[in-house]
Amino acid sequence: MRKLAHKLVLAAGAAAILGAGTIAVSAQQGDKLAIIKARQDFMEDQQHAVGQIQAFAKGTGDRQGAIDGVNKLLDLSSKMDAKFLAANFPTGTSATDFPDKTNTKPEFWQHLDSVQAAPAKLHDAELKLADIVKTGTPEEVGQAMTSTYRGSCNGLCHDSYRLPLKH
Amino acid sequence: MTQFRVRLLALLVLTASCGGVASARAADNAAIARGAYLATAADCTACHTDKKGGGQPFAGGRALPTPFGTFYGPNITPDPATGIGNWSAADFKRALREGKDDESKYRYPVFPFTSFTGMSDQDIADLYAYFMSLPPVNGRAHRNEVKFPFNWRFLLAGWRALFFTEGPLQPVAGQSEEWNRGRYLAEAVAHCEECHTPRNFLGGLDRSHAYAGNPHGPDGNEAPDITSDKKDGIGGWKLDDIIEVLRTGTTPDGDIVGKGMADVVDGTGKLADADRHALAVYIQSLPALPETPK
Repeated sequence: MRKLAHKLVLAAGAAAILGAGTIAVSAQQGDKLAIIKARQDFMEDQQHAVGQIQAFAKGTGDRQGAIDGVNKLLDLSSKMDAKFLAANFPTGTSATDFPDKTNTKPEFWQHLDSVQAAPAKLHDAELKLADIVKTGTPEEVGQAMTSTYRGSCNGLCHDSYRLPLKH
Repeated sequence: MTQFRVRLLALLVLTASCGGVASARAADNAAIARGAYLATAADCTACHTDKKGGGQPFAGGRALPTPFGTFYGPNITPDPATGIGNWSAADFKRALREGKDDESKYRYPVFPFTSFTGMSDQDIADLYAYFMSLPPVNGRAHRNEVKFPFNWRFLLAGWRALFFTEGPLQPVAGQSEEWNRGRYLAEAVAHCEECHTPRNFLGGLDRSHAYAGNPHGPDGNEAPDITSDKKDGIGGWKLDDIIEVLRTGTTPDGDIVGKGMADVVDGTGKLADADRHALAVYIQSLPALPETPK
């Protein structure tokens, strides 16, 4: 009887540890999903700002909207320091870990030097874009926005570290 | 008087020949201009210019990795030693129409002759005129690094029998002139299928999934489904959305296309509005197909 009770206690203890472990893993997964969501919201803020600039280029928005957009881009890229990247792109949050939840390729974490150098280059490109947004024609602004996006957003990060998006 | 008549006759002949030369030069210039437009639409520079290595336009050297080995885009400037300077118009046409080089050897289909074969004789002649007008660039020739047994060029005879139909493209009856123009631009000139259609294990286009995307596209990059499938393709896009992505690379959600498609937009962005509209009309008409499985 004593042996049975002992076994039952051990079994209960194991179950409790496993259960706690499962809950802990779930909590970690939940935290990571929240982080993924937060960084996607950040990127969408950038996309919205790009949209304001593109609207002026297409003739559907005004120059003030474009200026607000580029200022927003400058503000956001200034926040993308090493601390931001570490907090928003922790290991274990790639598209391999969370398929269909994120488009960040595992290669992102294999090239952290390049990733960490990117925001400063992006910011510099956006400063040049800002000059054109302030005084350029809609066509010039459109070309500059496309060129900045291709050279910086795509060239520094998306082309190498982001899975193709479904549009 | 006789001397006067002779001089007058000589003057008339001279004037006529100058006029003839001027007309010929104008015709050459027109052909060169048309050829330049086609070379831009076909994005020839993407494969024939080593941009990463700082190469001259069309001087070759760009590496094109494939599952069959690494190929190098050749020099197509009119340099006689390393380019196509010694090629006749017939040689050039043979390359595009038949997929053979100036010695009638089979070209590997990494050169998309399977699409260019669809071009008209006039367009091929105009392309030739354009490339012959470029400054010759002496570039170091790169040997293709083709894996065994694909380096046995004679095997291409079998490949061609299975996967190559010689052109030119004929219009489809019952479709509008604009749709047919768009089809010609997509399939013969801009060769959209070469990236957006999956390939079988022998590298032939799997046309049963035409434009449904290629998970293993050029440079190993995925090329998306551009059929009218609403879930996997661009079936939810308006015509203006397709035109805009061809014009600036901007998708309806504000993203801007990258990698190989960015190079393509360098070409489609310079199309005449009518041509870009036609291309969009054709693309929008592509039958819906789910995305090629990865």
